[in-house]
Amino acid sequence: MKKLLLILVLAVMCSSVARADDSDGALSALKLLRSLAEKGSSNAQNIIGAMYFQGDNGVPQDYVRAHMWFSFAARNGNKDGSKARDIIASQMTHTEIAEAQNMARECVKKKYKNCD
Amino acid sequence: MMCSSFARADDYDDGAKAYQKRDYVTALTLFFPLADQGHATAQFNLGVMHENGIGVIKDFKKSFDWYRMAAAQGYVQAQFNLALMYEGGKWVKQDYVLAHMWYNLAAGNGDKSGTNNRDIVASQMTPTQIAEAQKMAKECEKKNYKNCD
Repeated sequence: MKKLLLILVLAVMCSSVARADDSDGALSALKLLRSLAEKGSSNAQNIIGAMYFQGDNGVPQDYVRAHMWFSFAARNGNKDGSKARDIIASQMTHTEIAEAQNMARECVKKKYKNCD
Repeated sequence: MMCSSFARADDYDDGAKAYQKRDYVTALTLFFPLADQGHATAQFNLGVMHENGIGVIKDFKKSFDWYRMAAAQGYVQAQFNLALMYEGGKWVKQDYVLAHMWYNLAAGNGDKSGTNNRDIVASQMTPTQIAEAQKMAKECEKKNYKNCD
C-alpha cells in the first residue's frame, strides 16, 4: 500500500502542473494525457491510472479503468505501472480484473484511441 | 425566450435574497416554479428546506425527490446530499452501494467531502459491493446522471 501511495504521489506531482483546482481543468488535463497516452507515453498512462484510482477530480473512482491504464504503462516497460497494477489488483474482485483485461485488449486493438 | 430566461434569473436572485432574510414564504413562492421548470439550484434549495423543515413541514420524501432531480442535472451538492440520505437510510432504505455511487460522482466532480465520505463508506463495504458501486457510477455518468436511482 505504501508503495502504491508513493507511486500515486509521484504521478500526481507530475500531473499537478496540468491539473487545475476545478474538475473542468482536470477534465481538460485528462484530454491532454489521453492524447499522450495514445502515442504510447507510459508516464501519461500511469497518471491516467492514478486519476481513476483516486477519483477525486474530473473522474469518479474506477478500479477497472485504473487497472487497465496501469497495465498499459506496465506493457510499455514502466515498472511503477506494473507495481501499481498489481497492488490495485489485490483490492479488486476476479470479475473486475477479468473485465479490466478484456477492456485492455479491446483498447490495444484500437491503438489506445477512444478507449472507455 | 430571452425575456423568460432573464425573468428566471431575477426570480432566483430574489428568492435567494428572501431566503437569506428568512422570508421563506417569498423564497418558496419563487423557488417552486423555477424548480418545476428544471432550475437545479432551486431544486437543491427546496431539498434543503424540506430536509430541515425550513419554511415547510419536514418531509424527507420531498427532499429526496428534489435532490434527485438536481443530482440528475449534475448538481454536485445534490449528489452529495443524496448520498448522505442513502448512507443514513433517511426516508430511503439504507444502501451503501448507492451512497458510494453518488459520493463517487460528487468526488469526480471535484467535491472533497464526496471523496472523504466515499472512502469512509468504502471501508465498510466488500470488494464486490465497491466494484458494483463503481460500475454503477460509470454507467450513471454515461447516462448524464439521468435515471441512476
